[in-house]
Amino acid sequence: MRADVRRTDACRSLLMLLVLCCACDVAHAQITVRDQWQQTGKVSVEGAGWSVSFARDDAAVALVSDNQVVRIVPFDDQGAEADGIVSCEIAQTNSPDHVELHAVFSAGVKRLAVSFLVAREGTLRIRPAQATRGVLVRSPIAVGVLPGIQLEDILYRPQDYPKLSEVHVPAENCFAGLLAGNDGIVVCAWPDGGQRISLVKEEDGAKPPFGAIKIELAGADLHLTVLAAPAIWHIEKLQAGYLERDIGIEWKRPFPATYKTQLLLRGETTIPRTFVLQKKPFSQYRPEVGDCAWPVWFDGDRAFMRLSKKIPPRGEAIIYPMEDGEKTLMGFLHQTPVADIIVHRNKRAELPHGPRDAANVGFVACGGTGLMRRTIFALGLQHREKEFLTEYADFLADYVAIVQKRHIGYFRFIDETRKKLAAWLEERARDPEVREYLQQMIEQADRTEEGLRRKMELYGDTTPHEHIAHADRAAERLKELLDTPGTELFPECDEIIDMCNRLSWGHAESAGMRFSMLTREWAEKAASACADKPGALEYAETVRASIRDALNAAPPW
Amino acid sequence: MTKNRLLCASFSLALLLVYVYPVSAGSEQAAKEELLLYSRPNSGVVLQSGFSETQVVYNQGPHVAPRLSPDRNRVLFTSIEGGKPGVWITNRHGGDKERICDGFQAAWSPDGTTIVFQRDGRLVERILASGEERLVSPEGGPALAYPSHIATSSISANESGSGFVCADEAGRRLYLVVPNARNPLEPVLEGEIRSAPRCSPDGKTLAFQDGAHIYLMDLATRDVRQLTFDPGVQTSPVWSKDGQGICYARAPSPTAETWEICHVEVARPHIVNLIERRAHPGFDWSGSSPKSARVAELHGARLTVRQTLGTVTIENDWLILRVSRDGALLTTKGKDAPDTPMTLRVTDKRNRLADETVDISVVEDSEDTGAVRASFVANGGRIMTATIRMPRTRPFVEIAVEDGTGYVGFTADMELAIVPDRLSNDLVVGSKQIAAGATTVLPETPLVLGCLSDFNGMVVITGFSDITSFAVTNSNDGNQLTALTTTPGTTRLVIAVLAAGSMWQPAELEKHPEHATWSAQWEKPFHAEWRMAVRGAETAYSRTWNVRDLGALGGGALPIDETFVRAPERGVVYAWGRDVLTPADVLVPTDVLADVWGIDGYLTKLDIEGVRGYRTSSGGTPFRNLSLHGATWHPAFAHEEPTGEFGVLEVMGSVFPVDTDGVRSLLRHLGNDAVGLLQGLDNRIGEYEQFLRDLAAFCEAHKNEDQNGFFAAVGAQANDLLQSDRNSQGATIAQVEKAFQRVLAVVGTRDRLTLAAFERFCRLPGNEEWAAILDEFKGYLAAKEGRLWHNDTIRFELWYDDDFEAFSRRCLTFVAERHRILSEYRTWIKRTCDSTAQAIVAHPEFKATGDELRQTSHAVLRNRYYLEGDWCGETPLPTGALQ
Repeated sequence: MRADVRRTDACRSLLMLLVLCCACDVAHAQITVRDQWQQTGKVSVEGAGWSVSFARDDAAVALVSDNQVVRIVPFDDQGAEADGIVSCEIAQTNSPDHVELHAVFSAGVKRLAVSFLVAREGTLRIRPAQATRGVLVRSPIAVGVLPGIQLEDILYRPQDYPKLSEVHVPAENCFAGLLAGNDGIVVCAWPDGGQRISLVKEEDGAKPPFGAIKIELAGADLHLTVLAAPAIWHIEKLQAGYLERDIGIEWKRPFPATYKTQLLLRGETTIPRTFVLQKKPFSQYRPEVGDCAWPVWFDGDRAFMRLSKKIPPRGEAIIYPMEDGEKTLMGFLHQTPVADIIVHRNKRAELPHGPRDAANVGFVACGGTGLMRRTIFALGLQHREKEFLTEYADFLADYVAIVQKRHIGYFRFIDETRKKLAAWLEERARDPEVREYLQQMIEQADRTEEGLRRKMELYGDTTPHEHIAHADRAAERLKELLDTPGTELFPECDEIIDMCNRLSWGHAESAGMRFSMLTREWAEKAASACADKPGALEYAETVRASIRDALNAAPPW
Repeated sequence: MTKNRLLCASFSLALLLVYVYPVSAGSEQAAKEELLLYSRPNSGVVLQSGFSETQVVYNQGPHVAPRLSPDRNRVLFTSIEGGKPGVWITNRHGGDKERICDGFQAAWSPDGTTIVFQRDGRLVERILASGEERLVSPEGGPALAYPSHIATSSISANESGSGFVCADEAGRRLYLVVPNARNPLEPVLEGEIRSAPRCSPDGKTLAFQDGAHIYLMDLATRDVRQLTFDPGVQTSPVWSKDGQGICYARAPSPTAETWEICHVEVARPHIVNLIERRAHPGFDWSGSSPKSARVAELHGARLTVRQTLGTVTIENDWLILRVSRDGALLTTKGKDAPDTPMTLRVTDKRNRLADETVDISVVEDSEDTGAVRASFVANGGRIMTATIRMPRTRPFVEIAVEDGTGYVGFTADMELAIVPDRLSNDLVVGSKQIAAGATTVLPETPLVLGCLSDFNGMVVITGFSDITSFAVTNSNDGNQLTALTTTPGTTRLVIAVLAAGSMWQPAELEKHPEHATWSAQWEKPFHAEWRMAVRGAETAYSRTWNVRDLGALGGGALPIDETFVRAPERGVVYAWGRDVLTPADVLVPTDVLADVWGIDGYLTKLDIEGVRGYRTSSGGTPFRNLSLHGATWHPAFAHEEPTGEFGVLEVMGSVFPVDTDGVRSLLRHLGNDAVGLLQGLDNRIGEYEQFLRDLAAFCEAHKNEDQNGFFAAVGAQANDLLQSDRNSQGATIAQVEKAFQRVLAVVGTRDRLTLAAFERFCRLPGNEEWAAILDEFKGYLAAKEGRLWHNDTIRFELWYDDDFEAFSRRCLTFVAERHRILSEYRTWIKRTCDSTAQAIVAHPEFKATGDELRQTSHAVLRNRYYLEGDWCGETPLPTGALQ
């Protein structure tokens, strides 16, 4: 043991020398290690604007970034938090980009080993070892953010959970805490592997902010950083006077990046939707919603809002940076292996070929088909162009089939998810907490199905199969009409093509948007409903992952 | 008993049942329901009930002519579905649509068991239940059309059962047909029957269209009176169930695409209710008081004739005609009326003015017309005897000359006389062009407009077929025109006075300081179709401004699309045609002309086909435009185009050139259309060149008559134009066809292109534009969903654009080159026309040859090829030719 300590000390000295030498080199000046463990029981690693400190008398590792402090406290299998640091060793490394430290914490009689890799960007990789179940990331957190990736970001505010001392959150590879004071964001990320996340309140219960993010690591790495800048995030109370007016809010972004916020969007179901602050104001069309002014944008660095009846000024808008910058959530994630996992979630499914594999002979969009019917049929050329139009009719019907098969996929997803939920319910029927949760989810599946089914109603038909049959009949009728010269039957030809348009790309967007809205609501409920039901978290994560997959086939709005 | 007799017997039984048993009306509430059934453009047949609307069938067009059954549950209509005209039936909700038989113009019998229709010029009656048919047209009779049922008791007191009212196929005569009648078919009246006549529910009155209006005939007395007198044209009368009112269709002109459905009560025809807009004529109605969208009160309801102490006074809502020993005086009524009265001007062959009017007597005093007969005397000798008629419904008098050889016209203070010329440019004659006190002839024309000096009113002088030439007289002080007269031999002359609002205005001409172009300032007093005529020393410019174009202009000055070397001398803007927005109490020249000439006369004398008609190509290309949007326009934006019209290149550009027979066929057709359109341009140039050769020969033949060197100059210019060899440069049809063959060669060769290959292509130097397009496309939802490419195979055929665009550009270059040549030819011919008209005014002896030259010029100008443009504000006919 003594020999080991000596050897370690020698290595540490060598490394210190190396690091100090490196510190003299401007190009590698970002990391400075001060190892005074032997003398004062302290080790610190410092970089540009940040530091990571270990202290024997302190049970936490302190990450300080531009005055934003986060303290990392390991806890053991029983949940007992570390009460001190027994040792802190600097591992030998040849990289100028990071420093690795091995710390052993005490938790009563137990010893909790944790490895910290500190990168020159001020990020930490925390690797649990012996007896370490997880870590508490302590800091006053005003709002917890569960990034939705394809889903909506879910915001956790302490005041929304007045009766809970601990709010459970699905562990979906990353989580962020907006620090009180608005100048910092702590971001955590981890690979797949059965982690558990919760937000822990201070001892006085309901009062904000949250005191810590509690992460059960399941033996896997945790990546962590603090994004710090003055007013890096902002909370704007939305007032009735914001309706239908351009409002310049009293906040300027500290640096250029993609900022997001959550606003209510009215539709089949009204839920908070994520909106990116755009570069300029514009109007956008969304199925189910219609034309709508984009609600948030920047003019220079200043943020502006325009809210409407479709996006009403209710509650608060919380603005935070998510992408396109170092000090953003994605900026941090791209420094970790977790980024790949998240990016791969977003893979849009392509439309399959139609059942007849008809050639795409016309421009498939409102423009092309409109042009076709406003010329060929309006000029009475259908008889002359019979050969082409016969193919065109087949293609229209085929395209309807392609789209409606996607709708069948929506229903199949709902049905399969409901069956899964029912099976889990049977398994966990004796657990009242889980049972209640699963029943809620089954109701949500029913609600989603019902809402989507209503959107299926078109031209008197109610199912995708009926729509396919309808389009087939329409195509045959169109072919019949090709025998009639002149423009007498232009309205009918026009109507048939218009109908095929509505049943194909039009329905793909409108029904897809309905499905998107309903499943996003479902995903939001799946997360929020397990805030007080840790036993249901695994189901929440599975349901949300399934929804994420299913949404790959729906419009992205 | 022969088979025919058996058939007749079964029909008699059926018809007996019709008249013995009244029509079942259903519930009282249903019977009161107002039902309007009509075809609407781009929609098909709709059934309106109150504020609700049901789409019955998709068929559209005037020929569809839907008819509601007496029980109001079924609809008859005509369709060419399947390729041949047929009578179809459906229920009022559009279900159970079925073709009954060949034929068209079907109408229900009063009990709904039989129908009558036209088939091959014959009227046929058919029992719906059994399908039995019988021929209604008499053997050897004329071809008949527009049949509807009428009780034979209405035709003759000795008859019973069902008869028919109809017109001959040409629409010239109205007939009442009694099946199996012994007497040969005799027309009831002659006119212009352009829609189905309808008998009133009580069987006493017949409503029918004659020319521009609807008339009622008392079947017992055969007396006829005019029912509708809206401006423009009215057609397709339909009686109310109680026989108290009539619905009809009306439009500003007979060539209108869409019509308004209106309703009047027979007792108060001057109160017109607008029921529906944007309908086809040939509608049906079952009701008594349809909901009205707008009510208008028309002028033209009153006419009085008085005779006192040798003076006869006839007065309608616009004019007062007073014929006395001193002559015939015409004064206008209303606040906008001109201050100066007009007098009828009668002169003898030596231009001596009649100084006395004798033998004045009222010869007609009916509900619709008042007429006075008088003889005109100069120096004790009778010049002529004439009957002057004034209709109740229009502001004009008609002068029918019984004998005499003098001149007839009117005297009034006028600023200008205008000879409208919509193929070339209007001739505007002012007092400065004529010597003081002199009279000069005008070029051949069916009408002349006189602009009254107080700037309010306008006089239209026209006549019937025998009038083509007019003369204009200057005042003795040479400051204003004083008279417009016809040439000798005229037998029927019409003088209309239009004085509602400012019918004409002198235009204030302004030069644009930078562009050296001119514009005409004016104030539009009301919505109408306006004509602008500008005259300069060397050239003239006229164009029509319709409501749409004026709206697009956004008010202000009218641009003048002609280069004037020296400042134009005069500009005038005057009301010419009607629009649906023209106020009902304003009559414009075309309203009068349609009444005077009838519809056929209106179309032929105004040469509507020449002015608004066109040809596409010699091969009958259905497209009239090659491109409206240029070579780089993309079909993705088609739905944003407000016009709804596209050229052949736009349609070609929207087709994916995948390897199918249909695509090859379509592209071949469209390509041939494009080439055909271009070939048409060359053909048209050939026509103009032939005209120039003929004109040069004409000028050579008439050079001996040429006192002023006019023909020599024109002939020389024509030869110069021919020798300029304009057509030898630029693209040829062969080059265009070659470019098209390259497009065809692409079909099917690139539809297996992979996205990866395309990305590689985009990375090559010089393909940055493609790379940018691909990047943009990748952002589209359609791309994300695999609509543009699938399994890495491009569905959206980007590469086609290169070859297609080359072809497209080649075509457009060709058009631009040919258009320049055609424009030069047209401009020169129009200028020749204009200068000939001026020469006729200056040298009356020149008239016969000048008129011939103008006629031949008009003949080549009117034979328009669509792509040569130069519409001067005229609206092209929907299908190029009159229907």
